[in-house]
Amino acid sequence: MSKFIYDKFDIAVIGAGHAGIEASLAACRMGKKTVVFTTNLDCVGNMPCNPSIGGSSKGHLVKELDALGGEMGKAADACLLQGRTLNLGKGPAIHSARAQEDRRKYSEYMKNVLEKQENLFLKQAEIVDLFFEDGYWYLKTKYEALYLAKAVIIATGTYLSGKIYVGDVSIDSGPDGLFAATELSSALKKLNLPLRRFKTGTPPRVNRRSIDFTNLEVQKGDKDSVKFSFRTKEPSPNKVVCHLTYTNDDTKKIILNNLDRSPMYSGKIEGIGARYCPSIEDKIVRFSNKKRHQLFIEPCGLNTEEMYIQGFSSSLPEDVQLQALRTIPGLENAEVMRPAYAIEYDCVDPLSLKPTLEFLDYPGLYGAGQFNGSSGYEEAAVQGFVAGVNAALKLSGKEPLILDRASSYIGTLIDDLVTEGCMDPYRMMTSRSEYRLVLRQDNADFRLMPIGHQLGLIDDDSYELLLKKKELIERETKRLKSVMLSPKKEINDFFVSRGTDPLKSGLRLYDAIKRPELNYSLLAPFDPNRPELPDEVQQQIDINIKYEGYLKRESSRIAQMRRLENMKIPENINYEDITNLRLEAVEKLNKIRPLNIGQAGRISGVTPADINVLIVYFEKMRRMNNEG
Amino acid sequence: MNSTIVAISTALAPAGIGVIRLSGPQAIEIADKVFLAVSEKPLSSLQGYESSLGYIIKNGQKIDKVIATVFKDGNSYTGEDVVEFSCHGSVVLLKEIVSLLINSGATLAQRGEFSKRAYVNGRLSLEKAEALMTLINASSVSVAHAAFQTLNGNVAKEIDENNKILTHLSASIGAYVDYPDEDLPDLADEEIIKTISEVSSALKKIKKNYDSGKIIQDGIHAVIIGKPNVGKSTLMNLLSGYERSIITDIPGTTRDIVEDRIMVGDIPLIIADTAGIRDSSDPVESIGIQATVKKIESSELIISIFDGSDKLNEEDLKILELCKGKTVLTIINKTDLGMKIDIEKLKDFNPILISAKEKTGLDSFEKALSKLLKTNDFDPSAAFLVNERQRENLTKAIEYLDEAISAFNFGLSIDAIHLSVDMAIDSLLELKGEKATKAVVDEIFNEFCVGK
Repeated sequence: MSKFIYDKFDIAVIGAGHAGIEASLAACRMGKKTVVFTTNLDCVGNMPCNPSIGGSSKGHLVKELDALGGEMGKAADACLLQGRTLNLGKGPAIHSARAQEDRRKYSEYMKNVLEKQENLFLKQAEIVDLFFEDGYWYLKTKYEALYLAKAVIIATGTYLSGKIYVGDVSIDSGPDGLFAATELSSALKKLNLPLRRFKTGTPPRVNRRSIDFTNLEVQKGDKDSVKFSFRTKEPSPNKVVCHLTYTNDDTKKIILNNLDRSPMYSGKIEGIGARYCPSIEDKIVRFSNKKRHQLFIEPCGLNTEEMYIQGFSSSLPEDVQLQALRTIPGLENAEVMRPAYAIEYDCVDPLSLKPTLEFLDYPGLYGAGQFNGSSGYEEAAVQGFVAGVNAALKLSGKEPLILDRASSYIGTLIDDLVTEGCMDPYRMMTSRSEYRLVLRQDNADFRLMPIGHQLGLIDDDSYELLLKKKELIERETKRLKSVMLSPKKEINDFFVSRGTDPLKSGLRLYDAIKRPELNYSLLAPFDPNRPELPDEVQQQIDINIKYEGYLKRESSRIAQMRRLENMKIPENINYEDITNLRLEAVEKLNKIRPLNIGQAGRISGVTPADINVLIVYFEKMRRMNNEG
Repeated sequence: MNSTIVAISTALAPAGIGVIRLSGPQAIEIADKVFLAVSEKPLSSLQGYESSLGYIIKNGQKIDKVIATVFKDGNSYTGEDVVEFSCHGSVVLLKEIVSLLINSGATLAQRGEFSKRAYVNGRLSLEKAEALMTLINASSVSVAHAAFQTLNGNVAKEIDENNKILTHLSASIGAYVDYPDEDLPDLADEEIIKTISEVSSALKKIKKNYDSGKIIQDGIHAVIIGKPNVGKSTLMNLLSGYERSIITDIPGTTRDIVEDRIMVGDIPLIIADTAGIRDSSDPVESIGIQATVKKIESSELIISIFDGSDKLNEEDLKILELCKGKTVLTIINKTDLGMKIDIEKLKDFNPILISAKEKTGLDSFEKALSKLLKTNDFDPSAAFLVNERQRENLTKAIEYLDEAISAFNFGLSIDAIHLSVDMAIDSLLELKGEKATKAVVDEIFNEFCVGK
């Protein structure tokens, strides 16, 4: 039988979910001919779980991705149903945008972006085999067509050998009734990729008609609407509201009485579940003294009556789900359109990846998204982007893009995955970043847009705007240091009215802003020469001044960290040759193969003494080379 | 390597003079903060290789008369700016001056850090570098661990407990921040600050204990063990030169652990006399025995003592069991009463013969000790160093917590406060040696000796 070779590509992406989309777009926009495969063209950029984007630290990821030139922020802005900024009042570092999204619209939007992208080829096909031969990766489809590519990005999400559990019933399936990709797993096993089983789940969708909203608490969007992308000029207005309700003792009783019918508790599911999104049965068992659990009822779109019941993820049998659901105020007559389910899938141990998301043992093969052990659309998208960019850079013979921990949540996420690994689906959280005061969503553009611009993914005009903004901030900050407030009556009256001490002598405006009771805009009446400045510039000025002490210390911590990151470890190092390294350290270093001393130091089981051995060894090698 | 490091360069034992070495970009600047020259010329005005007589000033008081020598960048052992103070040789005084320099901006040097800097700055040959390499080995972790043990269980436990409180606090803030829509109880700022303040005061109390010298004791922690009435206390008293333990002929007189600091030759020993090992029905005494077993675990050296005039009995064998795998010096006492003991059974435990009563055999004890400790590469300054590092981490933790409190008082938001708490936790974890810390270059280089 003759082989049908469809075409040769620079890059092939397996999966058109949130990771696959960003991977293929970034690769294409960097000039690479790219093919992207999905098992179903009607589900590009699907949201099989919550119809929302962003949230604490996830909002950061989206804004960072946007500043680098990713697509997610733009799409989320275009399909927004309701936006909120979380953690207002808890400090600028943890403000995070979150938006309810029109799920179908988002999918169509993303599909259309891919379709219109020059040099990108979107295909409906299941990849069943993957192997490397004569300088090319071969991808075989279910219908036995062959595609050749110089680099491949695996972004299979929860589809890879996906298995759905509802009570006693389990079926091979992807999410949302889409079929699972079952054959690719064996091809990956042939490559010796360390596959494992993870598990996640989703709550039921209920028809809006059947919900009684009368006594439910309403959750509205913010008055000032939210946007993720700096390219979005006008944020979308809020179009919907969400509702809140709570479980009660009856719900608890029903769930506890039927626990033996949950595949999680009967031991049927082997996959490791996310600690960060437990099922309702998990919550009730683990937090048994909690009287009630909060549920959000979220619309899935403008053209559908499907409502997502956030907080009610479950793998209990359908009858138990329904019974339990109907104990909840507002849901007494709930008509379930899609039951809750747990899904188990194959993913890879991310310790087998480099910080570029390329496999350590397979040049040209990359992993991204849920396949790498993460969970969440945003986590997936940023990895897709980094994998796509790095695949493109490598094919062009350029230096890779590695974002360090102090640069971004994106860098923190990837470093965590490839250096520490993960034992359950990895979700981004603000606490994961030791540099979080610097990694704010309000300064994502300053941090990352220069990189996006250098990659060619941010256009010159946007970059110019950024430079202009930067200049405005610097100039105004300088001015504030030179303007003095004098102890005049009107000023002191105002100070006293704000609850701050009146002036006895002159005070720089800059120092006045530092006072907790005051800020930049409040002092406008006493600052006649103040230039007209955009809100976001004023916000940066406030933050920079108020947090000056902290930010200064952070930058010295970052400089210290970067000294270690800059000490590169040669790729051909043989750790066994280093006599004084402990065996455990040798094993760990051989497995993870860190790029630099900084990364090596973060590997668990590698001690400071080991690191010192490495530093002295490398210094010796360097000098020997210099002398030789 | 931007920091300026300081350490005592001479042995930590009473001597005529003691040298403190400061190295780094701010060495001269920091030295000038504590040094007042007789000539009134600051050290910054000196040329390289120039010395100046003057005083170390603490809180306006002259605390020592010293000679300061300035070495300029490129012409010093480390290749950096270096100031060396030749002080009077009291260990307490030397430490006080080091603390003063730390408070003026220097950080305590890690073991071997001067050598490491010399190496990195091209002041050491490759051969010397090789020698350094062999010195850095995996035992650093166990050294730190042992030193932490000697710190005494209560302090470790106290630090642990406080760290747990902080970790819990940080986790609650984290949950509150990362799950803003969850139905979590609101965190009251006052509660957060109250917890932080309480932990901060507790840590300050622990630190005060360090500073008053209750914890930091230099030298090798040794323990004397043996069955009752074998002559432990006599030996101890003999070594320390005065009577501390109650000596009677009634077995089991020593119930508390008596500690003393003595010099055997040039080796400082912190030596603990213990209750005899035997099964006792007396509850007071059995408490003493438990304490002994604990002490053995945390000691760097065991001096086991046997009655030479008697055969080894069950209690003796029990003692030998406790000695297995440890650094042990065995003393066979009462040699004046004739030898009945089976010395063959003790030959793996470095036996020496003495008579505490007749005061004979003490020379061989000293020799054996020095031989044993040299072969085992004991570093009398290790305990000081590790403890001093722990103190520094404790100080850091307290600083971060106080920073959190002042951030709160200054109206800064929870994100800033949360980060300070996390950094305090980091410092405390480092103190326990449980974390391979991220700032590794400047980290424990414990396998080297300070100030060589």
